[in-house]
Amino acid sequence: MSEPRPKRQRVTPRNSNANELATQAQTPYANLRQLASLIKKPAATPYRRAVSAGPETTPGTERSANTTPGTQNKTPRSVGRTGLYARPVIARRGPPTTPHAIRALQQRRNAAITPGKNRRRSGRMQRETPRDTLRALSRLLAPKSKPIVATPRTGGQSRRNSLLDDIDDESDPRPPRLSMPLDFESDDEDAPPRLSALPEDLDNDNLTANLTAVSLETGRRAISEDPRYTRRSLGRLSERFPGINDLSFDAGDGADPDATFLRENNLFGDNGDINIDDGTINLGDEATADLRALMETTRQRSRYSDLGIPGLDDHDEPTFQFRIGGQDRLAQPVFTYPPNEEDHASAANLVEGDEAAADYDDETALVGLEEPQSDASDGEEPILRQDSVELAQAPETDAKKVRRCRKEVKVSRYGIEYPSLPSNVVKRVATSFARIHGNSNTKLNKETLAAIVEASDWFFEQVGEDLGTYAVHAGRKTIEDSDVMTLMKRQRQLNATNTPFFLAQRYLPRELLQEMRMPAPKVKSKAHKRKRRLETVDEEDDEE
Amino acid sequence: MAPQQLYPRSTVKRIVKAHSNRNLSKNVDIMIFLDYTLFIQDLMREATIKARLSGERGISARSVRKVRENSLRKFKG
Repeated sequence: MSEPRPKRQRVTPRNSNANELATQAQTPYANLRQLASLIKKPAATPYRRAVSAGPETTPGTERSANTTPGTQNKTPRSVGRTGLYARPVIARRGPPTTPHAIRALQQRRNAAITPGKNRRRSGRMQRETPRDTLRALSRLLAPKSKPIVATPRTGGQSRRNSLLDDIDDESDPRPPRLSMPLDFESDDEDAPPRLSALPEDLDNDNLTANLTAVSLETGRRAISEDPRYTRRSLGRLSERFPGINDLSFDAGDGADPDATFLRENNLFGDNGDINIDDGTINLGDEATADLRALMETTRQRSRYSDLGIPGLDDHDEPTFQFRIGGQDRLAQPVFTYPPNEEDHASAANLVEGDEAAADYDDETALVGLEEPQSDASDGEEPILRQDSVELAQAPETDAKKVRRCRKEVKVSRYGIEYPSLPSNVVKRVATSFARIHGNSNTKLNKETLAAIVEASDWFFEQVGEDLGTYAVHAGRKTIEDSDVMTLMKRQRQLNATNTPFFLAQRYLPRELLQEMRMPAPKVKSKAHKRKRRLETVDEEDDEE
Repeated sequence: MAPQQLYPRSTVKRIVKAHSNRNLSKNVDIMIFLDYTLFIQDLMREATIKARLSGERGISARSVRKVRENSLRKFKG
């Protein structure tokens, strides 16, 4: 049925040049013909296929294409030479001698003989001509039609390009932000968080609120301790204070430290002094000075002085920093300043003139920025410093006091005060383990102990939170043994070999063990129970 | 161990209670302290290793500080 057809087709393309057909191809019929010819071409050109398939089809009468007794019976040599696999044999020039070559040859021959899927498919292809031609056609068309397909692609590309352009356009605004000068930065980074945080702090004067606000600010600690930031204990004021006092103003860095400093001053320094370590500003001598006003004036002053830009004196400043509020607020600080100082006069001008009362929140953030620069340009700084040196100590001492109190009483996230584990206990445990681990020098110095105590504080914090979470998850209001069990399992402290009982026996004194065991049957997990059965025997004897 | 109590139970309870804002069942603190013991053990072991590697005698605060972060991570539930 289909056999004669392939034959014909195979023959005709051979006779007729494919190229000629391609040139002549104008009608669909011609196209198809050409296609058919092209289909057959691959079958014809590589001889091996023709030969391998040849015996199948050439017999013609036989339908089973796979069985070609003639080729099968041929010796590998002859098969190779007849051109079933022309190349390797030609290269070899003789029967394969090495076992590997022989085997390879045999495999190849078997592959040729055995009706593998590929072969069968090839045979089928030759049998099912019309459909096959179309398929092959499509295959052949694929490479040719590429440019046609490409045109829509190019359209897509153009779209993509447009998209990319859009993206570029979008991304454009960002670089300027990065490259923006300091003042812009301050607006970007500080303003939103600060503004949201500050008023609460000021209003509530609540320590916890402040703690949260302050703890959000990071970057104070070493990188190695970074991830602890989220933990509240790190954000504690007591710990941050020294860093703030030390670092904030001498470096002249970003607005963060300064802002926090000022904020904390607001909280803790009720005397209304702003004392900055390098003494650039001392406003504390006037008892009547309102703190806000002081902030304002300091800002004004520093701004005026910082770069000595005449434009800053102008009344309408383009800077976003100043928002107009009530002038009365600012009037106060202006008067408090000694008149002989140029700065203050200028500040007065500024204040009275244009943006009298800016948003307080904004100002606090901004003061820090411009503070450090004021040292350089102001000639009167030394005088101010002398004044401020004495007064500067007051808030610091306050801070120290705060620090001390804070260390003694820590407040958890829930606002509950808690003690830290007594250091002698920590020391005992730590020393024992240090000894176990073969440290000859079992003595822990103060710093080490402090570090360990701190670590244990964090540990308890973390454990407490985890346990609370587990209890909540279990729908309980109390933390039970099972929670601890879960926790320890998750910590990989408990496993098949390490039962809690085993660990307890190993690490805890007997009294505690007994205490732990008393209520055990109710609460303990299965693993624990199982272990208990084994171990309680002797222990219960003891108890009894 | 010692005639002295190993650790102040109430303190541990209070600490955990403060952090979790939950009540604690009667003897949980023992288990918690056990966990804490394991933590300290791990911490000291790591610190000892660190100290040895950096050629210190004894355990310095620095090595503890370096290590504790990791140990805390390990004991994160």
